[in-house]
Amino acid sequence: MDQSELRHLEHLCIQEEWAYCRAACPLHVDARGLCQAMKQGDLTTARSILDKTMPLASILGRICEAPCENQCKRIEAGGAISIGRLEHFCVQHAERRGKPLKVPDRGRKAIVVGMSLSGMTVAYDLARKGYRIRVYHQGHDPAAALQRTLPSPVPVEAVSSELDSLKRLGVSFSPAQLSSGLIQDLLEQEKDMIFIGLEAADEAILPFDLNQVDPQALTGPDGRLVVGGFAQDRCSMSAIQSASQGRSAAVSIDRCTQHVSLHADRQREGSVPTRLVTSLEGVESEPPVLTGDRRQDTREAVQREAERCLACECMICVRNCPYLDAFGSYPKSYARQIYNNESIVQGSHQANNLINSCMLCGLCTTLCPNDFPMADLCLGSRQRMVEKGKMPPSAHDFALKDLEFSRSKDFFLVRGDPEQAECAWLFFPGCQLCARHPEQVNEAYTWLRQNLEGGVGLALACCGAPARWSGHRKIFQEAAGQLQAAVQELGSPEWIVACPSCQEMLGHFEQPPKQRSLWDVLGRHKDRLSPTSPAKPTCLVDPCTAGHMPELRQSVRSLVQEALPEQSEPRLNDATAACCGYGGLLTNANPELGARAGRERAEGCRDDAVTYCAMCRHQLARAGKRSIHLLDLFFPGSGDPFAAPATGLSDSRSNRRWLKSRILETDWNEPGLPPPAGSDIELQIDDAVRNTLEHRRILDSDIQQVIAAAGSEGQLFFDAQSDRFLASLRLGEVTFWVRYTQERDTGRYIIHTAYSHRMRLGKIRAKDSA
Amino acid sequence: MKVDTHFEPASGQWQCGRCREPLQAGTAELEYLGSSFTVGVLVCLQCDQALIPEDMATGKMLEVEQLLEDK
Repeated sequence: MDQSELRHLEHLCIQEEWAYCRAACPLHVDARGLCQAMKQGDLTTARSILDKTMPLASILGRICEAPCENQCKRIEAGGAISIGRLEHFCVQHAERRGKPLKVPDRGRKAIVVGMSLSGMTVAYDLARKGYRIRVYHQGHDPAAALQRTLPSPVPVEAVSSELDSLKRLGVSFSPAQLSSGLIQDLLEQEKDMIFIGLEAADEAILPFDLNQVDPQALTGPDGRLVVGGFAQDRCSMSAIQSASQGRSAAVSIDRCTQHVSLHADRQREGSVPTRLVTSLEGVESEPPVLTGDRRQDTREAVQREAERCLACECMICVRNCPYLDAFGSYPKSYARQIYNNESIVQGSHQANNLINSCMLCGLCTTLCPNDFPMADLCLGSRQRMVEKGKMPPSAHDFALKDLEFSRSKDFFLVRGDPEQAECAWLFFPGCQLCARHPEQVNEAYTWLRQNLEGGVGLALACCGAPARWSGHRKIFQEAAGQLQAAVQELGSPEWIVACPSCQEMLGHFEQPPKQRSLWDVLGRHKDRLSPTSPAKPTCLVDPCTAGHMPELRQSVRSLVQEALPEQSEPRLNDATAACCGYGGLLTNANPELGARAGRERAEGCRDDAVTYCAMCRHQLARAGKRSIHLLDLFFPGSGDPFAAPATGLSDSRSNRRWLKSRILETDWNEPGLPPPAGSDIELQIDDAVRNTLEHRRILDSDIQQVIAAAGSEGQLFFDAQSDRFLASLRLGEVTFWVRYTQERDTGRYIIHTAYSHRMRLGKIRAKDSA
Repeated sequence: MKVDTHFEPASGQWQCGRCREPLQAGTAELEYLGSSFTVGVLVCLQCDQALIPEDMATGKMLEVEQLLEDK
């Protein structure tokens, strides 16, 4: 990823865009921040927020016409927030804290003619930038002169306090006759830029016609005079327009003084549109609180009105994704973190976990008004990490080993129809479905062979999803290549795919095969199926991958229409289906977050869940949710399928071996697989230890290999106190340790614990020789 | 890098499973992703075995492994 890609991505995320009120305000006052402070009753902070962007807040805060209210999102849910009244209350009850900050005086000067809101805004803005400002005003009392030009009356104390504040910033006031002569004298005698506020002076004093004023920069044709306080459409002048013109004029004076471009990059001045999108989902309508006479506004009423503020932001992706939520920020910031993670040469790669925790489901992209591609960003980064050798080896190791298993002779099998020479169809159930529902897969294959014409072959294999999700492009190509080469031997059958993730992965093959879902096939022969309808209402859970496959979702709904008569759906479903936590190998890279995603999916289901993804069913069951895979409905095994526990890691492998053996034996009349090495070592593992093994991803076969090699290739220790052995063995990149006792009478091994580490053990020495 | 901490199982009378001699305090080198450490553990010098306790493997070792993986 280069900087321009990063900028493009950052631009897509609109979370940092101005709220509607702020964008509508010509001065860009942070009304959202103001409301947040006022709802806490914190008027001091509220006042600081106003003073940050609003000039002369004691005056303007009382008379601002609040055009922001017209754009307030609350309009759609009860009525706009009374931002103008909140500002008024704030400046009435909270004084400015200390002197406004200003940069040091660098000898720059400017002149303001006329006491007016536009002129005082110029004075305020430029004085804060370190300018020495001289103001010429009509009459002897500048406060009275200013009061005369305000569109609405303001208490004299408020005006005086703002003028005092300007004086503290170094602004000086001189009485003068505001005439064309004064302007002429200033132009001849002074070199500085001059601002003329037309609320306080007649336009006749200008040495040019008002039509000649640059409408954006407000500069006159001579380049020395800048004009404000006039209605460009010749309508009456509002307070906020005056201040806004003053602000623009101050920018022009500063740019002219510094001899930089007068017009460049000024699109954000004044009232502008915002790209922010705030969803009103879940927002209840609430009527305005401040409806009576403004003078009667109480602290409590003001607070309640501020509480109505929606604090507009986007966050639609973050609110709907446990992953985006867990890292505490939003995609714009994540893109920057990921860019930095790839750019650093030395030090810790702090975003590795962020990159590896995305479920790659694309729900955020679907929800995002600008289609921010979080999944593409994370997947691309994973691929580059793998290619540079920077991918943490442990992040996806277990899933890649599982893929290796599925590609091995223990599971991989691609055959044509056992009884027919032709092979029009190929049933591809997917490795996870075979790992968790082997009997139903076996029955489904039998059913397909009995009901489809033209011969049905079988592919027991993995689609390569773990390789693709982990960024290992080469391994993905190898897995896909192995599978496609084997299928090529069968001609070009149409694939019948049971797993939505497999369906997606087939689309990434070099030559994507022709495919349809198992549910589409079953749906076309519904009359030949006898589903077991559940006794209670169910909740149809779409897998996240199906979110991008409308036809698949339609096939499933059509198939279950009669079988599941009482059906609800979780909140995030259908085209916006959320991930169960398995996608993108989240449960590998970040197990706690994977479990959270599973829990949230389960909690979203009102009724017992029915899904058509083996991983979703597994995650739901792990979260304690009564759930089934759709195959259970049509090919039920024994017992209550909703109550079946999630399949453990070791069982998920032995199930795959069982299925292959079973099909070889029954469909092809061939011998099944020989028992795996070490399987003669019988293990006894209680539930607590089993949980530990699952958590640590230690398989029974790992334990059996450690015990088989104890004291020979592996290490062996004995604890005389507990009468237990402890053995270890390096298997690939991991050293496994097993603590066990062997039962004397049965020869069984009781496993007390097992653990592992990736560090490699080297030289062993006596303590004092180290 | 040298780690001075000595790691031993929380309890037990530990012997070498091969020679049945009691284990003694010793040191073992550990290596991961190009970094190596020396830690104090129970060893059998005769059979060249070192005992990595569970707490150590699932605690400090895992922590260091993850730090090194993110380097």
